Amino acid sequence: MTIATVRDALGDALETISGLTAARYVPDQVVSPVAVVRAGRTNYDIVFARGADEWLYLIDVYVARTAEQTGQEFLDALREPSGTGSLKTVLEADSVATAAGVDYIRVRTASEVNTATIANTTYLTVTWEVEVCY
Amino acid sequence: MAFVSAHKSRLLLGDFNFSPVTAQAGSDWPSDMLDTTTINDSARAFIPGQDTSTFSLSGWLDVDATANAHFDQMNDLKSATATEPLTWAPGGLVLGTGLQMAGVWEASFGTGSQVADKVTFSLGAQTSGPTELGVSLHDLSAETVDTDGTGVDLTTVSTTSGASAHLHVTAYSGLTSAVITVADSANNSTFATIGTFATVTGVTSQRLIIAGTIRRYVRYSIDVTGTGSVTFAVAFARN
Repeated sequence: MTIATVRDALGDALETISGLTAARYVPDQVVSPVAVVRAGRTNYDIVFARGADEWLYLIDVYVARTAEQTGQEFLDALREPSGTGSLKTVLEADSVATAAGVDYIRVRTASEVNTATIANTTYLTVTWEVEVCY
Repeated sequence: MAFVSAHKSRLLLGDFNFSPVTAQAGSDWPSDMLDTTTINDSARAFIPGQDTSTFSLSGWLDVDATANAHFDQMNDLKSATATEPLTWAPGGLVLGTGLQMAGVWEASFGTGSQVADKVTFSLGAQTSGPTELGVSLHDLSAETVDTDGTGVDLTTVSTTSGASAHLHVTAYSGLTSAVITVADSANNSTFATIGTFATVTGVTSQRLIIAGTIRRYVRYSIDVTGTGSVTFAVAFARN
């Protein structure tokens, strides 16, 4: 497996969530609602013999502020711990780990709601930390 | 002086390479201290007695239930009827690297789960018999054709009290058989076989006791029959 494979698997899984598109790499502009896959910290050598590394991926989801409540409801649905619209449930499915070629995927945390300005447009955003081990 | 990063450490137990699942490992090699203090002594006195060693390792459990995979191996080791060769190489298995060798029983193994972390395992091994300080003659890797290893210079010109050798075969495919031997030499040019492991026809491990004189240089050789591959490591220690 490669980092690109993991990005693709995460992106493919995120796109199964109704209404959400996914960018495998950080784009210059976004069309919300969108989930952006971003590489986080890597802990190499968690066991001997290059047996496994621990990778953190960050999923930034951006929604428009033009309809504040609708955007926040969309983010709430993603934050749910279970259900078909739950980002955690979707990414932790065994099929996603298989597609990525990794041992496991675990969604660790979801951040508070923040605002971010991209290309002069302000969005509501939440970042999910996703632990990937292989 | 040469320090080494711990991620290079390797541990082989029986026919299983524990290295890729192990995050922490170590050995303890104590000697009994026999109290010889008399009433004439102002301080307690001791002489060394018998020694033994224990090995411990822990890491992340591979929960794959496949036969001879990690979980199954630990169960099998628990019910072993003979000691298994253990090779602990803190600095890795690169040719000539120092390591510890012993025949061991699996004294304990455990598993654990803590939410928000990986499923863990731990394993304790008790040596039965001596613990040897040796060197690697073959890093864990595959060979497909007849090969003579590079001679390792053990510096001592010659010793007369024998040696022990470990063979860990962790993967095997295609070959009809493979014969792995250990040979010594006085000049690193002309070698003579001093020990032959039982013919390999699959994944296995062996602890070989070699008697007599061991000359300065030591190497392994492999003679394969058929077409295929055998992945193995060889460790060697003078007595």
